[in-house]
Amino acid sequence: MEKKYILDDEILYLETLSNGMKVFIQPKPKFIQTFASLYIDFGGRDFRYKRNNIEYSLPRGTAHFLEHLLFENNGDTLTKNFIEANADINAFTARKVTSYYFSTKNQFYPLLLRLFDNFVDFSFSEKTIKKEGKIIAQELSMNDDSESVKAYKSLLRLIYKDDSIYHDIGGTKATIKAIDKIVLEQAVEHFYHPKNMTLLVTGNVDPAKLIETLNNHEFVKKTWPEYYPIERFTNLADKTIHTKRKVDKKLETNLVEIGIKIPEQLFKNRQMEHFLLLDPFLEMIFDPSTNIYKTLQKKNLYNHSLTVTPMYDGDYSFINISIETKKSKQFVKTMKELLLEIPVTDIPEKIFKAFHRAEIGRTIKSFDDVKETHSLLENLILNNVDTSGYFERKKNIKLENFNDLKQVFTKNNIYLVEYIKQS
Amino acid sequence: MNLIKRNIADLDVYYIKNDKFKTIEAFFVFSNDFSEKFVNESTFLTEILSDSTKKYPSTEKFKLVCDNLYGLSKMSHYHFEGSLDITMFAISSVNDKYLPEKHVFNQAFDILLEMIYAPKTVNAKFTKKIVKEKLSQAFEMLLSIKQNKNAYSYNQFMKAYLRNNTDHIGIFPNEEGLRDFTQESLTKVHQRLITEDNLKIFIAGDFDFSEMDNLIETKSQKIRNRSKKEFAFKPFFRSKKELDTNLVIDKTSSGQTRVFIGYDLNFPHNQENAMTMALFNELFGGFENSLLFSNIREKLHLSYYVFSHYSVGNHLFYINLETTKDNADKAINEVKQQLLNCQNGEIDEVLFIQAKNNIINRWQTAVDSQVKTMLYNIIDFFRYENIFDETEKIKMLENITKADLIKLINSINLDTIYIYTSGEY
Repeated sequence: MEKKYILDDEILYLETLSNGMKVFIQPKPKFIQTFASLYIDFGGRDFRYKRNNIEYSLPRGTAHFLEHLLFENNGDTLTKNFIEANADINAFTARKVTSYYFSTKNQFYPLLLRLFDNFVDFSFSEKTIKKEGKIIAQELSMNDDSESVKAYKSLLRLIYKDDSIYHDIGGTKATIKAIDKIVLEQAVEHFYHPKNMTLLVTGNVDPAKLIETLNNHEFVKKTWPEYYPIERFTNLADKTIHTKRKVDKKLETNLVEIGIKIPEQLFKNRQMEHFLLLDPFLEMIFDPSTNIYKTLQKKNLYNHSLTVTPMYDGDYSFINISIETKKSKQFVKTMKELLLEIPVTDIPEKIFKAFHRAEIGRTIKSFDDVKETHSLLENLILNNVDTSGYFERKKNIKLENFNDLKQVFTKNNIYLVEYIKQS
Repeated sequence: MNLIKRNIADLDVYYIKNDKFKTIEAFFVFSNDFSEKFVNESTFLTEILSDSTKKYPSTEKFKLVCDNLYGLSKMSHYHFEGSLDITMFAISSVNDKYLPEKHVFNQAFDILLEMIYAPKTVNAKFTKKIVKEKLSQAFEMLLSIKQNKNAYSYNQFMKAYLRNNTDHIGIFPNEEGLRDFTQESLTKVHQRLITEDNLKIFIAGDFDFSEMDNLIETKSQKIRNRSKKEFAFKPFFRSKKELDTNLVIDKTSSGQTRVFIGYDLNFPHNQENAMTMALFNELFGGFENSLLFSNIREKLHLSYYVFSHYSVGNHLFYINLETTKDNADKAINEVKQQLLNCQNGEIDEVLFIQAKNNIINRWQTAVDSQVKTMLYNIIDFFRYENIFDETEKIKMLENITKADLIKLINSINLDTIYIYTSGEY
């Protein structure tokens, strides 16, 4: 088993099982809970892909549908054993991944085995498929009246040509109707293979015992069919129209969504670099100490709804600035001016030094809570970032490392969606 | 993790000692009688005080000093718990033991004191500028709440459920109260906080008691609060005026139908009843195997989510679900039927045990988070003048019988149904 030191007293173990599944384990012996997540490299984007040189398609929302069904695989209810052991179990489907996760303070090993029972054979009854279809239809309707969700989706459509970026992960009521047994069998065959899975365990566990437990399970002992890697292509071509404006009487106030597209060369084959720099960069640029914050405050354009979010999904990346404000016109004008000044503005040395010290503290704190540690490692693993090198690199970031990111703030990379309240 | 009381320089200080975490958390908790009139001021005050101080008069300077203290996190929060106004200020500092330099916690503690006792003021008053800024933000926030249909429907339901009895609502921002929000009102609330409120200090982490005693003793001169008045916690009891169910149908939705069902809890509030009600809430709609979830989502497929909520401090119990317009009545009737079944004694033994275990599990796993442990202790302290004694609480919960629970829930009466739906409901 490979052993990597994340911090002096925080160790991460890595093992690849004989069936090809990667396992990451971070023991936290002082804590009573253990968190486990099983990731399948199958998400909302996988409705069009290539495998063994053949092009395939699936109805949009298949990964999410399958996630629901896995809880009733082989006619058994997965949650039952977990609830009996007072463990929490749940799942989510993102654009790139499906994750099944649980946390418990009791019976970790039996529960882990129960989870993997679910990933050996797959069988779903027509009744279950129909039932889950109805529940998912309810889920998909939940954001029907959310104008902020609509505005954000509009921004994605404005920035990207690739529909795997802007379509709903769960599909639509129409696309999920097309999901049947045949579709599900194809999805399982192509994606639910150990070589396409990763397990992360954080908490009160013994790494050697965990691996031994898994090795004795049918999931590892079974002979799996040959695995063919999935090939995907993301179209990141630039778009010509950069603004969208909609006037709507349903709105109570104006919505502004700004996207700053990050060119591919900044993250392609540089996952760790981009992952390391994007968050701190935004933190420093939109820090209360910066000109951006001060100007917004001074012009009375700042309010609680303002968010600045880094978006990085491995194959695309942008920065999202979002606000609900009556003063959208002034906000947009001011923000555009401020963004275009970033390439020629230096980050003050004192801000960077303070940030550096804060990062040391934040890293220590992130290992002080088993749930937070788990989520940090999840983020690194899902973005293919080397977990041991990450913290070392983080300590050695230099101010000049941010220079490339500063240059993304050009007119050509800025996209704007405005939803305006009809007066 | 036991709570240990100390009296240092006439201050009530409580330690929660453990060597599990690498941080030290310090909480200053102020309490007073709930004052609905000052909900805006109290909330804004926590924001303003954590943003700058006299010594660090801009957000920039204050952030810089905190970042330099290895990312000192500060938190401030105001809420009301039954009859009490509770205002908390807290810091989470990496323990010196894990840092390349010493006295970081000492400096962090100074920051906490600066934040509370030495705000940025001019002529002993908060500035006009900050009042203007906060007012502008509050009006923007009111529009955002109206735009967010979940927040909007929850607020509308609460108004109907509490019969617009603003003494019991205290929702922020209080639109009417914003008219009276001034430099003077803000300054007055700050003065009240530091002179009239009761103060208790809670510190958790791996530290030496006598060193911490000394540190507090040394800095006690800066702590101006010397009020020894204790404010007793009383949960709010809604005064029921009408006998008929309060039915409100709001037809302005353009999406899914949101349903809230509120109940009148017609039983005295005490720790035992509150625990029995919390147990009922858990089995009725508190988790993914609850009666409502199993029947409304899994069996009848009427809703993606359905949950019940029990607010101990405000003695409220309500159900929240989202469904299609056509299925709203069916879902409401199912909620009513499930409650009736329980009141008639139809409660599955396995589910009953399961609900108990869920609650116990939540208490037991709290020890994995220092902040959670701290908050559990603070809440119990204010509600029951008791420390959070996990063993005692578990014993109490385990002693609750199904008969106790059924007896209690027979005092629950349907009070308000709020439906946020579209056109022709």
